Amino acid sequence: MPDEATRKKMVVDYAQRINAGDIEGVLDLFTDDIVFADPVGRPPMVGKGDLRRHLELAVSCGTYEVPGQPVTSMDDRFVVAPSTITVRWPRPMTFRVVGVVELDENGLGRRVDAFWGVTDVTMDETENPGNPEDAETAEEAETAKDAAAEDAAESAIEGSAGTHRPEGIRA
Amino acid sequence: MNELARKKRALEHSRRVNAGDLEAIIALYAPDAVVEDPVGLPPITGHDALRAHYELLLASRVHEETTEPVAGQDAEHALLQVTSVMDYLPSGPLYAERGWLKAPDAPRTARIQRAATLAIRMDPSGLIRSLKSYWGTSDLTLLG
Repeated sequence: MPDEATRKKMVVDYAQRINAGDIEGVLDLFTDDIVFADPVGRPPMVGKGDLRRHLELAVSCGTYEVPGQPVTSMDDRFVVAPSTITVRWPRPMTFRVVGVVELDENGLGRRVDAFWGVTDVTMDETENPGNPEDAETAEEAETAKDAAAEDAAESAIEGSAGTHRPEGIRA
Repeated sequence: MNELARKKRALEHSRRVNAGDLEAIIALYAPDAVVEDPVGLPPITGHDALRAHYELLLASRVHEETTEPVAGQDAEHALLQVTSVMDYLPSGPLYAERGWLKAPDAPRTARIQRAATLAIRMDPSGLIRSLKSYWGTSDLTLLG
């Protein structure tokens, strides 16, 4: 069974790989029959084919994930991590997410429940602040903007990705 | 309940724990509520068992610091990160017995810090149906 340190490392690996656009590397972290609910409340993706399409979309949106402090459980099965996820396209947005990940005996993710609500999404463009209910703290919005700006400066990826929308966004 | 109402409820749980008001904590739960604290131990069910559970927690003079919760799009969930600081006594010796932490040299003055994430599922009226508190051995720190 994966020990607590191994479980905590898994969510850090996930964020590093998705930030690098390494979709196959992300898929290597999961079982073939992975059930991935993102967000919880929508029908989950089942299997690596489904998950690959979701990840391709996420990467094409310029997803950048900063994991927070993970916690575990006493049954060798779970790691739970908050994260702040920014996307650049179709417009800059910040998502506050808590991921509940269940791992199998080999340390592979078998189920992911990504909890985020419409009130956990912040629109980061000042000319269109969005629904006031969606706004979290000004500090968080500023942090996300800084991260997105740094990310954009480093990236040469521009192009047709702007037509995509991440799944599940209703805001 | 909408997302903001659920988040408010989740924060209210910590507020009542910090106020040390046992009956007010129990009043947040449905009669058949199930609590896993920590996830991995046998679940606690019903008000009487919950009362015993929280009585022990309050006896350790616990204080919880929370972050802004997140919601599920399932009309049921709110999740909350909680950092608790509590006296080593009375629960600490049980933790040490289970190998979760090393017994301190001065148990009467020692404190425990615990990082947890609570996944709270509520019914339409806002009563808690289930609470899963995720924390492991590596989320415990002995303070002094």
